[in-house]
Amino acid sequence: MAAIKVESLELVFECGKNRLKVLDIPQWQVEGGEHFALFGPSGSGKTTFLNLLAGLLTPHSGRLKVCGHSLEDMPEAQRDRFRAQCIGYIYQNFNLLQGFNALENVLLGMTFGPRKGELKDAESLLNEVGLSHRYDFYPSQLSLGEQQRVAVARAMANRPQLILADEPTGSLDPKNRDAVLKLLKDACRNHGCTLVLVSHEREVISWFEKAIPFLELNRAFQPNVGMEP
Amino acid sequence: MAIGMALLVAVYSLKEQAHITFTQIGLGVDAILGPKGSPLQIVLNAIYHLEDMPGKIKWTYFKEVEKDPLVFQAIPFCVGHSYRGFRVNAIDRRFLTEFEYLPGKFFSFSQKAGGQGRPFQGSQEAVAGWTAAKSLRLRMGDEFHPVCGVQEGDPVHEKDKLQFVGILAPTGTPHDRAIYIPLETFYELSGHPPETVVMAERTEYREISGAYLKIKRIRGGAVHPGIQGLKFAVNQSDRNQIVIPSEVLPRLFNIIGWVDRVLLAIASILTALSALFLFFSLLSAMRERKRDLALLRSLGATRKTVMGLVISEALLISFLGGIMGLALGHGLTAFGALFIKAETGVGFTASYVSLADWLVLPGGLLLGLLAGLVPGIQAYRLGILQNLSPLS
Repeated sequence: MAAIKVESLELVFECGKNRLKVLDIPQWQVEGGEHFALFGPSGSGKTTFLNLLAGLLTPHSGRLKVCGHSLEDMPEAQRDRFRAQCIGYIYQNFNLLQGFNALENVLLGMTFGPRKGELKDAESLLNEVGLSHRYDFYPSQLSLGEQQRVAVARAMANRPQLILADEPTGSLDPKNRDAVLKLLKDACRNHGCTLVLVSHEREVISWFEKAIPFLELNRAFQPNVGMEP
Repeated sequence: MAIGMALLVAVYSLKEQAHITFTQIGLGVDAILGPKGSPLQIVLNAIYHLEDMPGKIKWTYFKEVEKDPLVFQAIPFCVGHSYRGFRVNAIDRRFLTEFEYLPGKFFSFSQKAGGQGRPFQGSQEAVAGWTAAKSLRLRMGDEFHPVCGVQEGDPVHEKDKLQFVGILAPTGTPHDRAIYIPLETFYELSGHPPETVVMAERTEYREISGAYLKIKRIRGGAVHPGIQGLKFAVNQSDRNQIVIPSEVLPRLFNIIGWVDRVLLAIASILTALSALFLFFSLLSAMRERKRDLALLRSLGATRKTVMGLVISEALLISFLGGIMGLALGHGLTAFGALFIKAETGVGFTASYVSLADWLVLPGGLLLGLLAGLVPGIQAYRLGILQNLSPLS
């Protein structure tokens, strides 16, 4: 079964009278359990696409089916619930809550989903990402690599069907980058998640057997209209 | 917020207790037979041992009133003496043995109840109210010289030495704040002019400060309505009047009512200001926590959820403020009660539940809701992507 199915997807940003087509993807499909990388330059719409897949944005036209849910006409509150149940999102800048320790950040990932903060599961996830000794540590007390591990554990918290990773290693040194990528892929494999990762780093893309340049996917991207090449 | 609410709780509690104590109980005195003058002054002097009595009344007149069929008990007294700040009242012995100071309650000397000794019998004996005895650290058998007057520097009856033979058990009324001596002793104290001394033997010349009157009851325990007729008749005279405490004291409350109105206004302003402070704090916290709330949204929290979180926080803060206000308010009431007891002898309790106790939490929660509404709406409208991460 396809985890992601995109048909004639268009996203247009409107600013006053100006209309900017950001995404124009004729067709794309990812099967369940696949690990997929999209790469391309900054400003090419990769993050915007991930946001569409997460239900954070709605397409202007076209069809978008994620984990069996048609997102194009789904009301916002329903998309929120969909996100809580089906999606794990990992950000480049981790987006951990600074006032919460590692364990609480993972528990937070369960708060809005179906699992409702099971402590043992949260501890087990932190153990899985190698942070069994850091439960009580706050983000400011963790290294960047450790913070991203917590973010990976949080993304896995609800046993999502799809993990979306937006430049997850952008803030890490090569050693931590490789460690986090291995962890992410292993975790997705262990939990049977589909993984879609976007990055502009060749070293990251080389970790994936299935990788396509986002420019091939997105016909709307025009490098000569003010966006970074 | 807690301070404003504490003030509201304390002011309401003391106000309501004072109202009940001073207007409804009446301290066992249905009426006071006294001289012409300010009725309020007479009540304050006769019952609360404050102020001075504006004059005297004739014993013969008192006996006439005592015979009135409506009067079933009349206790004459003479005021004007003191001892180390406490009034020394010369009073009919029946006051200590037969006077019902509250419905069903009589003065007790029982050790179990906190009293000691017995009522006075001899002319040189005295009985102390519980507060007076405690404050002056009086012991049975202690002797004292009464002061002729109630001001500092008034002459002392050096030749008269009276002995304490009893200490009254606490009553929680102003009666605890006085020292009582036999009525006749008043006239016999040395240093009084001959015209006063003669009053001890010749009752036709005798004068008293006033008398507590107990009026017959009708069904349901209410005072006989004929008291108004008696009052009218007595008040026709040039020298005497009947004062009914339950009529006078509400007037006192009307006069001093502005004090608690001002205090209530201050407390209300404080509470409103603290709600405003809460509002601005939440608003500023919203600005700082936009990213956190956007993150919650990205994790699956709905707009209603994050709005609920912000409003819940405001409600929680105001609820805690309310709880602290209640605790602090009752603490303040306890402090105020101590002060009032020391000044008037009236015992208030910190555990009294006033109207404010019922209103503080719902009112606080309402203020919290109002304070959290705008930040809550801001949270509701928060855009996830604008507050979370840059596009790539």
